[in-house]
Amino acid sequence: MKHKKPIFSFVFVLINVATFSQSSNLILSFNNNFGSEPLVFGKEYTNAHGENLRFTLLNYFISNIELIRTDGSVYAIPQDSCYFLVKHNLPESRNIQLSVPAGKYKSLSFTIGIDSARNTQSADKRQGVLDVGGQARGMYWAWNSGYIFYKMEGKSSSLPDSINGFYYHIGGFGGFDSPTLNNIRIKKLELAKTKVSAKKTPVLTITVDVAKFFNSQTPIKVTENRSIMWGPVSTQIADNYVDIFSLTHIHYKPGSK
Amino acid sequence: MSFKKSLWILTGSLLGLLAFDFKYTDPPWEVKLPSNLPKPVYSLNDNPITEKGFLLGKKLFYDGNLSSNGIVSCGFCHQQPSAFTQHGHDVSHGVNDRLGKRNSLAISNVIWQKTFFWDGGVNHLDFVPLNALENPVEMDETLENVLRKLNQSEKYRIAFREAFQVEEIQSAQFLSALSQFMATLISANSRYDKYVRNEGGQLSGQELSGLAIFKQKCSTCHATDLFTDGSYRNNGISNDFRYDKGREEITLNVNDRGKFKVPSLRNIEYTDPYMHNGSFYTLEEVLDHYTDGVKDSETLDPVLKQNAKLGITLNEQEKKDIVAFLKTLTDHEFLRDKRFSEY
Repeated sequence: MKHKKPIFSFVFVLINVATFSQSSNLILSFNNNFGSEPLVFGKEYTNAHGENLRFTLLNYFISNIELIRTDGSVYAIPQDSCYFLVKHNLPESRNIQLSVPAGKYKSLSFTIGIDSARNTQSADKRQGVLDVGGQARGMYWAWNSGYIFYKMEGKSSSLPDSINGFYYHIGGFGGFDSPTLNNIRIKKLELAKTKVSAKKTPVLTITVDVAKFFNSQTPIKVTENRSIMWGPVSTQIADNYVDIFSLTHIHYKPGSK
Repeated sequence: MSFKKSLWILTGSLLGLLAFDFKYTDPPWEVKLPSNLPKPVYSLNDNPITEKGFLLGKKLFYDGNLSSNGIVSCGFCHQQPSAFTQHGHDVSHGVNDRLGKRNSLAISNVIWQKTFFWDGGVNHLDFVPLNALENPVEMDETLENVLRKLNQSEKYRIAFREAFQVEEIQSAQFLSALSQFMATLISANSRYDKYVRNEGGQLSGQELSGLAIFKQKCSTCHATDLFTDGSYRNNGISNDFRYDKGREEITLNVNDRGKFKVPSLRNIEYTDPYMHNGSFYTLEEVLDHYTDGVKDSETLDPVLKQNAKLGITLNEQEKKDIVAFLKTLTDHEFLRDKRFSEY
């Protein structure tokens, strides 16, 4: 049996070389901020309406990531690996590593939320971050089937004492057999020319400024709308939160080769 | 390595293989699709039913540990002798005697259903149990906690390993198992079915008369041999929607106010009380509602307001004939099928 060992090792090395030589990556790093400050749960902030805010929860889904090459062709991250759940209290969830073909890319787009198809698929296609009894716990409406795309909660001393806090649970994929709220939003970010190769992995810092959540297309005051879930105001909020994402920095780190 | 040692390893591996094969023998469960029903909506290819998956789903369906108080199982509100609905309760009755706002629906022929619940809020059979499980007035649990309880049970871990080849029980297998059980709950062996399929079922003169009137006056909504068109309609039970807006709660469309899913009429003799709020206890009351009790409102279904007249015109004899016909939709084989029963 002894003679088999070198062959095994040799095959192993070959496989490694083959995979590593092809692997090129891109990292999306989501930095949650309030204005110019990093978001810290429990810390007090003041929004554009002078309201006092302390955040306790921030989760959002990022999915269906597409990269557009400088020649205009598109690379879409394969369906089975294109769902991500960023949870502010889980720092590792804020960095998304994507396996991407080497090349030059000029822009990036992603869905904030989950596409309608995946919202209507069988349980075996809802694993990992889509697992409603696992990682996606609290990010799904059982009575009105569908994922919550963006969830943000907190306290506010601007609210009366008897009121617990603010709750924004935004979902709605457009309806299954009749149309209803469609809060699926696509964000596009320009990358200038970003080169992805086996030697260099670009790290794109995407700043998520939740201060803009309250003051973008439509002013949202916690004293007026402190609990928004399944209702028409959610659409205004979804329009607002598209604007909270911006690309603020690109740097490179050594790749796998 | 010595020869003896190698032999032992070889024997061990062979035994392991045999054990593996033996353990995972799980024959597919044959779903017999009745010829008088259309093509199912639910994809059995996504979740192929096997004997072990079915048995596991059944065990889960009747397990009170799926609820917060350890008592309210799925089968608590969906009882086989009542065609898998809850007999004698106008609205569903959950943990600690909490009451829901709607009548629990019968579970049968679910693989032909496109949407679920009275308001159609759930779009896939796999996610039906989640709604009841996490509703505070029903089972008041969380899926996460149910999975924790199941993973603590050796019996369940073995059952899931055998049915789904997993070491850790996760939502996908839990929901798939329940779907496998529910998918098999097919009711299509009533006397009416055997009559339309020419399998020796006989209908009496009165029942045939009832069938003819039914086709003329009821089958717009209670269409096909599924006895529903799957649509949402306001059938004039109420004109005050403050407490329950029905379908509008899902679509947020005011035109859907007070609309509820047209239920199937299969086994209706045993699924009382009737209507989304369980307001009628007899079929006679139901028919009296359609002739004399329909309440007008903006969203009342147009078929219940033809020529400016509310309701459906039926004389007393016609009502009796319809009731006689409706009772031919009782599928005694289904109501007593030992494969589906709790004990």
